[in-house]
Amino acid sequence: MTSAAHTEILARERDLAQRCAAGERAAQESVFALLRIPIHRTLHRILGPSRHAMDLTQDAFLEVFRSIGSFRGESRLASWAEIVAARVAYRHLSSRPPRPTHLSLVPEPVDPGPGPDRTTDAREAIRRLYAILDRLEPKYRVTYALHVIDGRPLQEVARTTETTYVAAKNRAARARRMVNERARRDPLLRRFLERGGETP
Amino acid sequence: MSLGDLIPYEEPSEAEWAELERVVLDELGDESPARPAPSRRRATWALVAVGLVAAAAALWLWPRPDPAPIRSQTIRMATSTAPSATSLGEVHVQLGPGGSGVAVGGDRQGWVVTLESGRADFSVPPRGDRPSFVVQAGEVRVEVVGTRFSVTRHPRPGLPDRVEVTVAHGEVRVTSGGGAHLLRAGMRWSSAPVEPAPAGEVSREAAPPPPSTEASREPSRDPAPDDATLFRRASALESDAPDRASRLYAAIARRGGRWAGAALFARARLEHDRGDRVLAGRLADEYLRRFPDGVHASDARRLSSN
Repeated sequence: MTSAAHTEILARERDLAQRCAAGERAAQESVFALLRIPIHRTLHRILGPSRHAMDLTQDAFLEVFRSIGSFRGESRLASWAEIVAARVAYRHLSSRPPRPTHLSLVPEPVDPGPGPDRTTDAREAIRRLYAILDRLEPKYRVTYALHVIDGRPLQEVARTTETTYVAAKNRAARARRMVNERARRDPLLRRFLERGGETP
Repeated sequence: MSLGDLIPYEEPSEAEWAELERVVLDELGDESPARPAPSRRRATWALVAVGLVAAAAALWLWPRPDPAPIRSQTIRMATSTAPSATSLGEVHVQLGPGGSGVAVGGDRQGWVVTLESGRADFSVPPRGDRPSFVVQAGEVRVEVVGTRFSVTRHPRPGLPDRVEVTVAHGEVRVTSGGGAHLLRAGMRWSSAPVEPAPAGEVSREAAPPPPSTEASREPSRDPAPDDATLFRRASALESDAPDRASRLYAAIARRGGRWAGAALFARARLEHDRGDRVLAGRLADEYLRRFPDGVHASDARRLSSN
């Protein structure tokens, strides 16, 4: 995309945001249509296949609409909304009752061996991965989901989680270590992570 | 290949998106302006009283303005696995699981509900001088005379949709393919099905009234089961997700059913517990205004004076 085209898109989105902040219903509907996938996808990545993603999508949209007046048009509206969604997820995870922190106390998953097909294995591996993430502190979980799973650059993750680049890098490394340590004892999960380019 | 490529993204259905959009945009529309600070409360009430007196005097002295323009509302309805209730003015609509539709109109000009799929149950006060209430399901039009009835639309790819109308109370006029049928309580009508009809179904004609009980002839006025479930859900959310609990209580209170008072008071108490005494006071005042003799009136007065 040329620089001029990018600038034009930013200006158009800034205008849309302003009309939305002024309460124009048609603009609100356009913003909803524009942002529904970026917001839901971000939450889906962080929370995994969970029923909370849709509930939190509602919370994230309300926050987007309430604060859209502060959108300056320096980035794409979708990127800005993804940051809002990540914060909503972070708050949700932080407000839950504390989970056990010692992974060694969690029962070992049982590897049933090769499944009837790869899809079933993958689904089970995803469930196990998110079960591990569920026991990480929110800052590690969000960083792992955005950087390792979703492949977003650390700079962007740092901006989304409102921290420094160095802190984001440290969090990603530590989260990786915790997940990999667990995966080394779970062949199904280890194979899954290896297929995704990780080296437990 | 990255890890994200191995984790499929599951996008919600269009019906779920439509429902979410309706909830979010309705909530934005319902949000009230900034609340006054507690220290200014008395002064604000005085100003309100002066304003009301001035407004009354102006109304008495001033020539009557032209009537306000009639505005139509558009309300999208969609459900996934659970039914959902909606009020269109005085009309109560319960949309069954997997249903979707759009209502356009208002109390002054009447409503037209387009049922896209699924089953919807309607409770409509007798029309009398009121404007018409119409349900359109494909080519089938159901005009309401004042009644309780349901319309079910079964989309069939490549075939005309099959539509069923069942009348529980009162009467409706069904128009389809140039013919009109007047259905009374206990009658059922179905558009011509291409495939064999389920046992007991009568096509194109009003079926003879099935045995009906006294209970089924009573006008529907009890949205309690639905609201009761929502209320329980809100209570359960209070500790983990108080924002969502508060919003759910607000929605129940807005619907005005049998649980409205309990929900309004529960929200006042919840906001008080969360430290927002101004909002708690405002909600308690609203409770006392709407339910001056309600079971929580004495507690609401205490919250109001805090």
